[in-house]
Amino acid sequence: MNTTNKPTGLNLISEPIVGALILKISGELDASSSLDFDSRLKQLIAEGHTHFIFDGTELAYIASAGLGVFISNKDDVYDKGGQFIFFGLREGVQNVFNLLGLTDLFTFVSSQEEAMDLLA
Amino acid sequence: MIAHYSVICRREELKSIRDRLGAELETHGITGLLRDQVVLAVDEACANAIIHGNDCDENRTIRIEAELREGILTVRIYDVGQFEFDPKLLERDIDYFIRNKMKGGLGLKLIHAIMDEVRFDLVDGVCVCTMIKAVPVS
Repeated sequence: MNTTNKPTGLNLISEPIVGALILKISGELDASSSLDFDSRLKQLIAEGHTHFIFDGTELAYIASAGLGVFISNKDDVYDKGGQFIFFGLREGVQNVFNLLGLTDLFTFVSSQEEAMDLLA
Repeated sequence: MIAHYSVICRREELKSIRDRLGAELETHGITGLLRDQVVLAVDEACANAIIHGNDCDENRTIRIEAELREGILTVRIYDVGQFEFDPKLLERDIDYFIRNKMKGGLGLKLIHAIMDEVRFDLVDGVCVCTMIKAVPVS
């Protein structure tokens, strides 16, 4: 398990499991913290990770800059057969995905177990 | 007037803008998902002004004003930057942003999805972003 705690109010914990990487995002993903998050995600993709399970249970806020990180990195993952799976998003955060019609772009499930089942 | 304050043009101020506005809206009966959406729209507009309009120049400030009258919430953001955007971006569907891996422009789409009316005016060299929304105050 690896923890990255930046002064931007965003905390990332990455936990590799068989066939995927669980990335727990805690805090607020806005135009400030998304810069660090984008760098970290790009680094993980460069390291060869392709299947990402995002734990959103402690993600309190997301702005368009945060959405932009997922959108701009999507092809680099999906082109290699990978995917972005989200679970545990709070209503306010899920609503931001809904407002832009992004619900069909990624996979959303309610629990980590469901996410792992999709990869089994 | 339920809010009026100025902040320095740096990204790190966005959280304090959200926290402060969210608390003020709550005080005036705008709560839950509606409060969250209004805060998101204002956050996006402020991010545009700070980052794109003023290039995060910490010698500059933006001013935020919010007023609530007879169920109509009006938020204005004043800045002296050079914020320009292509209005055609608003007509693009989300697939356009995905195909082009675009990070920018999504904020404006969110603002328009949330607020009833959005205007950008240039008044005496000051860019004024006006966002209006009818709110059922509880």
